[in-house]
Order: sequence, then C-alpha cells, then structure tokens
Amino acid sequence: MNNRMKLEILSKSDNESFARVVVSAFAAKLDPTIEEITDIKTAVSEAVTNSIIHGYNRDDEVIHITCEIDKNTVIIEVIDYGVGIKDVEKAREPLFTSKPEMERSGMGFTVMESFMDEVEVKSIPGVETRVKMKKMINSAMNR
Amino acid sequence: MELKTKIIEDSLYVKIIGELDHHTSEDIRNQVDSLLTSNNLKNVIFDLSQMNFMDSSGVGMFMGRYKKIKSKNGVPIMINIHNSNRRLLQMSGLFNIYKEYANLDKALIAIRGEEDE
Repeated sequence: MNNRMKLEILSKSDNESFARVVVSAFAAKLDPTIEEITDIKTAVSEAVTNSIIHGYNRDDEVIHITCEIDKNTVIIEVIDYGVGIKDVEKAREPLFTSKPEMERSGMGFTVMESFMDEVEVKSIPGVETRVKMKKMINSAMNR
Repeated sequence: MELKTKIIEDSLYVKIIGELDHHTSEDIRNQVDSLLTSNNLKNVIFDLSQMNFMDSSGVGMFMGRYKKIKSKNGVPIMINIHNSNRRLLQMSGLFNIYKEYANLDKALIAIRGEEDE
C-alpha cells in the first residue's frame, strides 16, 4: 500500500498533540501494534516540540509534517523554517540542550533515534530544518 | 490533561490524567511547585496510572521536580507505572532518581519507614 499526506500547523504547543494524533491515525492503516503507535507518536511529538521551542520559540509560524506509507514503512518528515541547528551532530548527543533553564531534558533526538528505525536531520540555519524519520511496521510485513 | 492532587501527611500526591508533553508539562510544573511551596511539603508521589502519553518534555518536568524535592531532603516517588511509559522512563534514567512503588499504600509505608530512621 502506498499513501501520502501533508499537514500544516502553527507552532503552538497545543498543536503537539494534534500532530501526533493525525500522524498516528494515518499510520494506523498499516495496523501497527500499540507499541509501534506509541513509538511513532512519541517521535513526532519530539520533532514538533523541537520546531516549536528551538526552531521558532514563537507560536505563529508554520510547521509542515509530511507522511508517507511505502509498503510496510512509515516515513515522516517534520519541517520548520526557523533558526535551524548549527551543529546537528552536537544537537543529537544525548542530554545536550541549548535551553537547560526551561527544564529541557536533552533527550529529544535520542528518543527519536531509539523509537524509530532511521532518523535523518538536515538543517540550513535561517532557512529550514528537516527531520526525516522512518519506521517499519513489522506486523504489516507478512501481508 | 488534568491533575488530581492530595496532601497526605508531608507528601504531595499528584495523579496525571491524560498526556504529558511540552504543552502540559508547564501546567504540571506550576501547579506542583506552588502546592509544594505553599504547604511546605517534603515528598512528591506521581501516580501514572492514567497517564496515557509521555515524551521527553515530561522527562524534563520529572527531573525538575526531583531537584526541588532533593533540595528539601524529600523522596521523589512514582507509582502505578504501566508498560507503555516504562521504556522512556528507563531510557532517560529517571528510575535512578525516582523510587518506584506498585501503589500508594506501598509508597506511604516506605516514606513512613524512612522518616522513622
């Protein structure tokens, strides 16, 4: 099965739950397990939260989320057009955060990496940041 | 997200109902901190039985409350953890700083035991 969708939301923290519910509803067609759905929801939440807090730090900018189903794989991309990440490698280190005063755990990318099969981060500071994540839905493989 | 809170002796019991993310963790932080301070409470018991989602923003919130409780020599506790939340709690090392008990009774027994020593 192949399918695709695109979602545009404003960078409001209220939209974090909306984004993860929409993506998980889209991915539900592959009949994932509860654990797989939790993984996807959590990873989407991390990426969208990063865009809101670090990309923009304001609530009236645009975030795009695209989602594709390619056979048994869900491919999700979260895109913002904010400040960007100068040192992607550093940002991906566990416990690294640029905002410790906000009680950020610095675990966002680590969570995405452990809950998804692949995570690719591309950032052009001041232009755009793209976080592309893939997850294979194992239960869909045998169909 | 909704919070149910209760003061039990010198502990604050907090039941998180719903989702714990960046959006809701601010609310929890503000409510919990103000209750801890205004009632001069020592320990916090987070009941996760009805928490149906959590991401790393929640980890940050739990770490922040841990620091607050530790500064008063109190005990930070989690109870009623279900498996869907366990992985993230484990991964983030929160089990190294929070004590886990199966339920409220067991948590209270442990707190009273600690204070008798």
